[in-house]
Amino acid sequence: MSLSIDVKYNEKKENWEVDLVGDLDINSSVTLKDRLNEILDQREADIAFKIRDLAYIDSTGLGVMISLLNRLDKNEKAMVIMDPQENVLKIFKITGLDKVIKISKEGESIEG
Amino acid sequence: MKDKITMTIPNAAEYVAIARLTATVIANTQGFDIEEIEDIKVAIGEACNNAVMHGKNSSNITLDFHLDEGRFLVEITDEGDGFKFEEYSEPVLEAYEGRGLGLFIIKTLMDDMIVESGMGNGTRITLIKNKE
Repeated sequence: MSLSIDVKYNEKKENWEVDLVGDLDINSSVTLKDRLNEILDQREADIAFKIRDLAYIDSTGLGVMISLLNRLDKNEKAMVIMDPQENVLKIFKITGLDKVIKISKEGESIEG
Repeated sequence: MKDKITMTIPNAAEYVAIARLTATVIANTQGFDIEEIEDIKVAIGEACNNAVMHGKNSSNITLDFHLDEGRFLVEITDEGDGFKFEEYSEPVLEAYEGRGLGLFIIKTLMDDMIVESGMGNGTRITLIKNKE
């Protein structure tokens, strides 16, 4: 499955909402990275990833998240990952990224 | 001799998903449970990623699935330049630059990983997962 990226700016929350559906892997990670840099160039703001329908993530996808986190940190902005499936959450946990990236499920924060 | 399934894909990012999905079908046929199948899928994906990153254009990646009883065993061979596995170090997240995380994930998810890589001779990664 390929990756579908849906981006919109939430004026009320003043953040970017990024919906990811499909597979975030070596074939789609560069596209996502470019898209994220594009929207942040347009407006530096917090980012909320809605990934309920993200079926798969690999190390290249994690790499995008880490470099994004570095950019957001520099600009004192934040990111959150919302509603990951169990298999996707497992990849964040085994790599320890759940300790540095905020992950929430159905509005609840998941402690790493 | 045990049966073996061999598949060859072009060494390019867009074909990695096909290798991953094939691995899940084979692991399912061998009777692994859903979580184990997911682990195998991720590990095969990461090994193929490694081949794509180190491989040459217009070469291939070969996957040999050995249908042993009680374990999943695959050899993934590329025709790339190889890399110095001795120089591999586990990633430090705070200083992460995008390298090494894939092999770290494989080591965590699989029971065994053997990397044979000679500079200029391509790389073979053997992955083994035992059935619980």
